[in-house]
Amino acid sequence: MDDSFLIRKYCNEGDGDAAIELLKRYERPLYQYIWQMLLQQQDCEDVMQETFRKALRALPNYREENHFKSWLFRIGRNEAVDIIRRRRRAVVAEAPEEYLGGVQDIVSLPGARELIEERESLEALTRAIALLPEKEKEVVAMRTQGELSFKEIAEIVGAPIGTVLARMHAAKKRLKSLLNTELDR
Amino acid sequence: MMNQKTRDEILLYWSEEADAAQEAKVQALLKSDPEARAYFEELGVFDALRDRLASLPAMTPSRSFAEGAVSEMLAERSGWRGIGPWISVAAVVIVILAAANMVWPSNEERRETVAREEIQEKGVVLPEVMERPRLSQRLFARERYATRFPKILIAQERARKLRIRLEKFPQL
Repeated sequence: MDDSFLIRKYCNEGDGDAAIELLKRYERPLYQYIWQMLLQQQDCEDVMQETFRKALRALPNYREENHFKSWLFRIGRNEAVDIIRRRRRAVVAEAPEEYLGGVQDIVSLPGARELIEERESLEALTRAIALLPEKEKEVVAMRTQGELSFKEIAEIVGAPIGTVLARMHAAKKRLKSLLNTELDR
Repeated sequence: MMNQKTRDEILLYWSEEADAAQEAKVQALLKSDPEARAYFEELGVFDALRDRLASLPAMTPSRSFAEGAVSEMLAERSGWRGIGPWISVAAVVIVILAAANMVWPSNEERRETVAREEIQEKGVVLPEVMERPRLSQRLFARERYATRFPKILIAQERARKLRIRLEKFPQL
């Protein structure tokens, strides 16, 4: 069933299952995109909740000529940008602590050395993402985690496709120098 | 040295968004130009980034936001649906009361009518100011009085005759 069919089922018949199926299709890429923008799980969950809430409210006014995924990502992007503007301090990537637990937990495990190296590698990765300028970070996040085309990204951010591609080139250059050998492991 | 346009075409090719002409051009370039080939390979940094991040536990949502949002929205809708009939009933009651107020004269209006009749019967000549209906009556009550006029006349006449008969009897 395509997106339009599910949207009609929800709007005309109040079919909640159709709405859930529709949103679940894009839940994971949207979550990963927002996480890469915010690098903080609580903020990410708040944005996800608010994005879906607003999307459901606005769904009766949705125009089918727009791609639903792009429309949904636009709402999510606006929410994430609001969070970023409200922040007063630099974001510190919290991910490694959540992924692998405290160092004390790791040391006693078999393969501890590899786990610690993995953790350091992930720290470097998330730090590199955090250091990207916002405009480059969002293009990278939409393309890699959100799996959106450059044309869709251009529509969402409201910039020409040439500008979007230029940001991607710049991000590549920056990531390469920030990460260096990390991603070659 | 590659120009911006060539880099864009390589990026679109990597993203599988290049049209047929661009695809053919980039494929030929990748075979012949080492700089273009190196640039294309460097784009692998994004694939690696995507794969590494996607494998992180934090990149998997801890719960279903879709189900939560839909449940909330449907609960909100049913809440309004529950109140809706009561709002309709309240609106109907208000309309009925307003219509009743317009059709039936209020107690005050009835008292004024009887008082005017008594004054006329006693032969008191009222100053013009007092005989003239109030502004509110002239503006808003004209139609009501017009539709009720025949009934009022009949009632007045009956009341007048009854008073005349009662006056003839001695006080008991």
